[in-house]
Amino acid sequence: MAAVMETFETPASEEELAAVVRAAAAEGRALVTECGGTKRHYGAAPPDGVRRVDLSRLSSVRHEPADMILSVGAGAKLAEVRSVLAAHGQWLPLDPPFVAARASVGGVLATGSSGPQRLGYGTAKDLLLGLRVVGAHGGVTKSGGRVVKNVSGYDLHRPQVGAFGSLGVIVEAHFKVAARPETSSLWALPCATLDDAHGLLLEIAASALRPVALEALDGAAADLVRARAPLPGAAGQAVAVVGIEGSRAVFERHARDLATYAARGRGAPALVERPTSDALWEALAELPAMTAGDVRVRVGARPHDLPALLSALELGREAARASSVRVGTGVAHVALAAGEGAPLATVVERWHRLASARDGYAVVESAPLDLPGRARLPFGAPGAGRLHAALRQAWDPKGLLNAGRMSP
Amino acid sequence: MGEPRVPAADDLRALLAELRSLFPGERLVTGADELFVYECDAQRFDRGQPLALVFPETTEEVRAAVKACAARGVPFLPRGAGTGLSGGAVARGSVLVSTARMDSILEVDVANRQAWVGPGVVNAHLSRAVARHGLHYAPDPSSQNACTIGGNVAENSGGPHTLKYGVTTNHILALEVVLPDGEVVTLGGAAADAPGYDLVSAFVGSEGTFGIATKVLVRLTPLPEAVKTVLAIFDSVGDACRAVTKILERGITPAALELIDQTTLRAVEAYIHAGFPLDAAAVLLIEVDGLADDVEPQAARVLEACRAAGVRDARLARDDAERAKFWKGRKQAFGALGRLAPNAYLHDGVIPRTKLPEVLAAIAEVAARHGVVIANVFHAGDGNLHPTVLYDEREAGAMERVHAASEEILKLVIATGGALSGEHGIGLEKIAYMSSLYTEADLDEMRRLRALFDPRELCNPGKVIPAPGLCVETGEARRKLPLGH
Repeated sequence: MAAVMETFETPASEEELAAVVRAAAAEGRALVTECGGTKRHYGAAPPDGVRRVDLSRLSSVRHEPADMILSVGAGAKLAEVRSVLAAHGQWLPLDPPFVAARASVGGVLATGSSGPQRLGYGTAKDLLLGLRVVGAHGGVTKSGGRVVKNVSGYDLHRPQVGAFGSLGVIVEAHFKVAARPETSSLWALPCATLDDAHGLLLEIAASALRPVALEALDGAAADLVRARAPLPGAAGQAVAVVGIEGSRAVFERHARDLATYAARGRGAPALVERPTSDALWEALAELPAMTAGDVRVRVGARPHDLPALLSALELGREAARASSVRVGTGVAHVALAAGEGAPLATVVERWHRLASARDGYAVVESAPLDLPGRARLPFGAPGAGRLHAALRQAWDPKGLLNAGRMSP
Repeated sequence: MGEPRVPAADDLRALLAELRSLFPGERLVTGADELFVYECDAQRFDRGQPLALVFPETTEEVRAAVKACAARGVPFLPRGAGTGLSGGAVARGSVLVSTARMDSILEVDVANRQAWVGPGVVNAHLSRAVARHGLHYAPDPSSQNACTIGGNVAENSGGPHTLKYGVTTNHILALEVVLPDGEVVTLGGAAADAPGYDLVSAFVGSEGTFGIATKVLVRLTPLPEAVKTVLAIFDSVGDACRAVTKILERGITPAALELIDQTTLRAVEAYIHAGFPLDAAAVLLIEVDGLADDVEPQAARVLEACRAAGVRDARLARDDAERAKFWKGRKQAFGALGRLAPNAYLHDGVIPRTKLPEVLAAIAEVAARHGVVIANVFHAGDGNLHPTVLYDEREAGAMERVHAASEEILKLVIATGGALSGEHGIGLEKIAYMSSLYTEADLDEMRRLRALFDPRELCNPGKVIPAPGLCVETGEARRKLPLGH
């Protein structure tokens, strides 16, 4: 284990959490916050001896169905939030991984997690209306509020998303929610290669259609999904997946137009409707959980620059075990077989240089906690600019909040 | 914060000489007569004479102007088209840096749906320029034919179509910024989900207090395949508000959902002849867009929801021409209200949607009690109110009545758990109310963020965040200002 966590706190209220943070600040002792603990292997590890604070008891859920506003405690599990909203025919359109493993709302925000449907519905940041946060000094502050539009003062909440709790501990989040779509389905077409699937989905992205997800999977990634849900194609065959949600008319239009792309594949397409589609959506979203034993690299570039970049990375040469692309968003995930940290770091650093030349990036998103030489891996950092470092310095001068998680 | 520092006369002379060398001819303005039109923004109550006005054409020139001011401790601020509605561009004793000449669309990446643009590019010009590629820039403030992208970034502007497409912050990918010490930085980037702190989100909506954006990378959005606009006529404002909730509950996200009340309808009809009924208590303008196959059924469900709320009559715009007329009526409503009274005071509070009927009734009661006319035309789907107090400042006691009514409206909004501003910003106008919405600790966090970008408070000082500890007193002093001067 990379970190020895000595103390364990479970505050039951905002006030108790604030007291815990104040005590840690007084002692000059680092603390790490978590709720479900499903993404401990994301990002850099905290130093040994940190105080661990479990936010699971901060799990309030306040839903105003008629206003379509949701306020949730950081420790609320996304799965439970979904069932509260479903009772009113509504949902929070977020499909990050580890929901089955009880991912919490706070963790989804802190890690900036998203899923296949972010193409259609945006990310947590787009749905977020405001936050309550405990700062490094142990004070509680708010930003934004419980209305859908707000420019009253500076936006301090969006910068918290993806900051790994290094700018404050999220206590409560306010979201706008939506009515659940009338239909939800997926169209999938086996393809010769990941690159073929990627190219096809870029064409679909440029068409008049409005898919909510466009996922290209290589053979290995497709097989992981096939093990859990119906996906067309033989074992080891790449696949292009199109997510369709909306009214019956939207579904029918997509089904009709997508049929014209069928000849581009290597096999028959499948149109997966409810209830079977639910399992397929879940399998696609949980791909990061299925590759949690690997070193997972995120590669980002402009959507149409990504195919050339991925080919320049020579994924095959670097023993990529499974790769998938969020087409249209311009983000790829590559799972590398876990080995020694140092040589893997060299690979990702090379990838990052190639990506940077195209205004993109490559960064390690997650790695097993017991990976030898894990600390060498290039995880997400605050950012290269003077302002990024100054932000952390200003918000947490002693560097105690989730110390080490956002590596320098 | 607050009153501008008074620079020494020698420093001032040296600054003006340096600006003169940097900005030849008409690119530097120092005459009081010419500066008069730059004393305020479209809000017009808050005013102040700028020290000087410069028109840079490049990032390097913005940097030079900023450094010249910073070296002498003279405040400065950017100015786009001056269409702001909260006094945010008032430049008393400051150097105004106009972005008007940085109005080039620098690079359009059609495939990736992104464009780098100068801050002075007019919002609607950008959408027009990319329309032939089937794209547009989605946030559409009512002032879109004049307001600039740089101004939109500063204010995090909204507009009718942000109900479905989001506000400015959802459409900005990266910024080149001249920081208040003259350093040029790039925040954000072209790739999604890049690791690191999101400073683009911090900068958007900072009302020109964090530096001057000199290039903006915007997201472009595909134009919808089809659009339908419904005009729904109601005999009561309450029914119209209930229809809003019923539409959204049915899983329809209209592209826009706007309410226009009777006072506004009559003003608009006299001016624009949009085809609105004069005897209606309120109309809703509801636009649905998307795939051609989907807009008819969506419109049918909208009509159904309106009927369930007791609509008098609801129908689709006959054609594009009628649709354009409806929208012209909506977007020029504020101008049309100018025909009813010489002065207008426009509010911008946001409330939970379900509170619309009771808050609008309370606003009507406030208007009656203070003997003022209040018109309502607003983004109903967002709960973003725009009560507009109409008055004649020459009338004895008018200012006091307007002031009293306005204060009650803001208190009503705050009491519902609402926000002071949905899209116009705090600027100077609402700064005194910030401490009714936020604790001193909340405001300290905002001051801390401001200090990160502008530790010397040289960039647009005295806006957005009240000075520490002085909130109540400052509030009393300031409250008279927007309305009395």
